[in-house]
Amino acid sequence: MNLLLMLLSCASRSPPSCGEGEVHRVDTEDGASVVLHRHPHDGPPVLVVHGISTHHGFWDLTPERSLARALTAAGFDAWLLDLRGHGLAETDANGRPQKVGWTVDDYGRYDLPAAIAHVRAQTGAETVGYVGHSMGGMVAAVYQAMHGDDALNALVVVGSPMDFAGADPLLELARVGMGFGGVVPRVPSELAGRVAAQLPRLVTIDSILYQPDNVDEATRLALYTRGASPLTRGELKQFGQAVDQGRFASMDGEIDYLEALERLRVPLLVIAGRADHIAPVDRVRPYYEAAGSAEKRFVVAGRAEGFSHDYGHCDLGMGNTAPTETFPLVIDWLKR
Amino acid sequence: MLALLTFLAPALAAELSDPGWSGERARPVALVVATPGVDTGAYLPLITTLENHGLDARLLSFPPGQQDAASAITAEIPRGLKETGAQVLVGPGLGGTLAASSVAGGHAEPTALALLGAPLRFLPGALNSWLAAQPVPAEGLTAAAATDGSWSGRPVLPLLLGASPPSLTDLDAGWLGTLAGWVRAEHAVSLDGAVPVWAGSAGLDILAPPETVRPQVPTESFHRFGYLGLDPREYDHAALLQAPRALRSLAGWVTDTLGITPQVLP
Repeated sequence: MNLLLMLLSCASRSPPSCGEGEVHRVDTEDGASVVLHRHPHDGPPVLVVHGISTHHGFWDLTPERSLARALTAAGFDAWLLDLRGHGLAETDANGRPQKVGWTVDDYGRYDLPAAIAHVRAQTGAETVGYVGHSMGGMVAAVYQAMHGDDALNALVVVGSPMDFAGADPLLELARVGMGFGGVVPRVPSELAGRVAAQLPRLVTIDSILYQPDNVDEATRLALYTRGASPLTRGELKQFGQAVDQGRFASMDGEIDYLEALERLRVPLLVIAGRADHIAPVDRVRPYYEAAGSAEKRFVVAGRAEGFSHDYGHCDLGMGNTAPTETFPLVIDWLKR
Repeated sequence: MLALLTFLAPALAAELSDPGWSGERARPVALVVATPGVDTGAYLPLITTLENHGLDARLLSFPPGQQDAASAITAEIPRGLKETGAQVLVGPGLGGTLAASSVAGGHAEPTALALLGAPLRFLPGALNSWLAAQPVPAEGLTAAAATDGSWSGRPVLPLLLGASPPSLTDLDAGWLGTLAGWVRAEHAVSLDGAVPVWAGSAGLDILAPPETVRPQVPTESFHRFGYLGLDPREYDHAALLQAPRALRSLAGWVTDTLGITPQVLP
């Protein structure tokens, strides 16, 4: 019944993804809940995690730009996650806003363990594969720092910055915005996205988010109208702290998540976009360099590496050429 | 006014030139280290900007037969500093790699080092691996033969240096061999801040992207150009070396570091 109510409540808004999949709501140890969108298959399970200011729909934006569908077609059981406060997990099972006060730490401390345990229980698999975009990859680092990586069999992070030293001017500007994390509970990115969708392409904004040549208009509109999710207070505060301290660390400062990657053992693929202006290559590469994994690979998605485009931040996952260039990289790594 | 007044210093194998304000000798001297094989005209925007900031810019270039990297690092650059009395080394592109290597190795001791689009470590990658694997003939290599290659169906030079790459003339096979060796060995130069450093880079500079620069210099020394630097556009390598804001930023840092009053001319 709850599921039905939830789906009906969602139907009044733009659907967050292109559509199919079972919906599983899972409670976390601290009393919040996350939502998993399963694209079922008999094959091995893969947990797919979104970035900041978006939700599971990022990975399932249109039928043609869907990693979920690509994974299923490749024989994987794809589970797309809505972290608390995002997508269908913006509210709890009763339609009320999730309990406030969480940070990025809590995504790794509570949300991922709950999601992974649920996937393992549902599938009977000992381990799961993991794919994370942007913050979704950073959350994997938080998770492994707190819980280890025994429950994972492969890790793919896409456009996930782990080095905040010496903030660039654009990031300094964004830091001013992060200050709102102290005074507002959430920034309505989804509203801003719907407004942006009505405007002609804004050279700077569009170019910062993705490589404009690599995103057709339908996908751009889908991203802005269906792919956006609020920026939460905790995210703003923790990323603000990262910029201030020049490192991605737990809110109490005890755990440096980059340093903790030394303990990572799971095979790791790190993908960075040559023209990514949110997570530039030099801020993503440390993820790869710090990882203790014996088997690891770093790929720059750019023309000098044989790609059709110099990829930006979002088109790594939803660009016109993602299904033929980045998705196969992800799938091959999960299959290895 | 920018007549290219060249004088050859007999003691130097490399070539020193004064492309700017001839006759002006009261200004602090900045020695610009050219990339071997690159047409010196590519450096005129940089030299003009330095001179417009009140500096006397000299160019150290490496004619054919004098493009041995080891000699440049250990002998030519230090001698160029001494010969000109330069306080500052300025290194655009691979000339910056040579200048940084000279400083890091303790061969040159300028008051300040400014680098623009200069790779300080060579990372493995598809294009880099292809470059490293290219046979370098010992003799008879022409610029055209070295630069007309294509990789993955694309011409190499625009891919590496940008849409409007500088003219490459008189490339030595030995210098190309050195470059290939640096790529193969993932050669790296670390600058610990003993000499004040300014290092500018741009995300679409394939020759010297930020991941080949930022980790090698002190945090505060790194300056990114392009959208992340609040520029209205992105820059490839050739565009960065001509970008007015990047050049002004470099020259401004030099004058600040030397403690001189900038003499910014239009």
